Amino acid sequence: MTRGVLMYAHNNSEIDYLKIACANALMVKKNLDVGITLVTDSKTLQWGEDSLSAPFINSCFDNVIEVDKNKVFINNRIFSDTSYTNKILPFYNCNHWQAYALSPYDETLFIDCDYLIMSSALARCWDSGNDIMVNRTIYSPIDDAPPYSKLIDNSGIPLYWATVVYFKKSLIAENLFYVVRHVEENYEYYKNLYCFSSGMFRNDYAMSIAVHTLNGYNNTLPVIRELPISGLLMSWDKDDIQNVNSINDITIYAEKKDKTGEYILSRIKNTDIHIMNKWAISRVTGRLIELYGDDTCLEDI
Amino acid sequence: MDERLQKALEFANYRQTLNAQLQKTKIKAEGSLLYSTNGGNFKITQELIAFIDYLNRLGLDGVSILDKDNIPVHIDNIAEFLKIITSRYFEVTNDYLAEYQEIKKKRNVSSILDVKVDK
Repeated sequence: MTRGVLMYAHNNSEIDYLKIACANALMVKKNLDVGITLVTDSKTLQWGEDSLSAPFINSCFDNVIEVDKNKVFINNRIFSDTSYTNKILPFYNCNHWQAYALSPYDETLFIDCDYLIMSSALARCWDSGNDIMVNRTIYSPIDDAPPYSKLIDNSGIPLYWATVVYFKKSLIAENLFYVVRHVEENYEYYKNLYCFSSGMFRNDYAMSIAVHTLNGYNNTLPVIRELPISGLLMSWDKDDIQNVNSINDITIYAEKKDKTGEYILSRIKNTDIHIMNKWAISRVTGRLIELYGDDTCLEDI
Repeated sequence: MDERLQKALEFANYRQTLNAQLQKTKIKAEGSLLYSTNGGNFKITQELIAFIDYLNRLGLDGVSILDKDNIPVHIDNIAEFLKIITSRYFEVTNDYLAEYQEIKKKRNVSSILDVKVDK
């Protein structure tokens, strides 16, 4: 039974997703000790080879799969760097449905490259007997409340987060990704059907609709289970990283609810975290690579 | 600003930071107490351990029990299951206790977060 992590990285003009993926791959090696596959495109890879070096990239990943980008797909998104800076940039995320076919593993943890693996918590997924696991619950670094879940619309279906998806090669997993593809190809229709306001294509929505569909349009006896973690820890794009202290230990500035520019410091130790502020993570990728990389791979940069 | 008010606000900030750190530690521990096997998701609780111990004392094996979402799951080896959940329970609660005590004894924001503040 082969096990591994799958990540995507498609750079835009400002955000070096590949470098973030390299840092996170080293974190995966340290904490989960499984194979890692990267899905990327030729331009991103070329940039990575020029800026980081091909041997370094190969030392981070066991497999690098190059895919063609769909040039017709346009998906602009507001990227925030705290509450003070916003930029609209392209966000290429239309090919996540390919993850099932592209994964070389029997058991796959499909994670966003900005979901930093700072613990071995996701190792609890292996050999669980579940075909797919995906989470509804999230929590924030400054909440003193339990993890919570959301709906994709006030009266809609539960929102599942495609940030981390566990799947085993199985018919149900294949079907799930097939439905994700179908939703993406008919996004306008599903947007109206499920009444969500976002114009931008979100994999979270496509995944939520696919889960709802495969659960038989209800949630009473779900076929698709949740990951064996309490919830996904989310640092929003209004937050910033204060410091990377050491291995599996970072401190973040988390913006207070409804108080722009007021922060609480939050120390995150041995807990995986989704960093939504891409510039914040970009500012510390060098430090993460330095901390998690071994001497052999660091020589290649 | 009035000195007393400033101290009160500093204390409020300290409590907010302390509560958030304690809550994160609690959520981490709760997550570590989740155990997935045979397609079932179990929350390791004192109640689950006591129930499985009871089945084990009865000498039962190969039984079906309900997981945390009331999905029936077959457990082949009750003694092994008991051993896994019991050891996980104590590993997690011991770590939780250590972290909880460490945070609880901190008396200001910078010591909770272990950050240096330039004065």
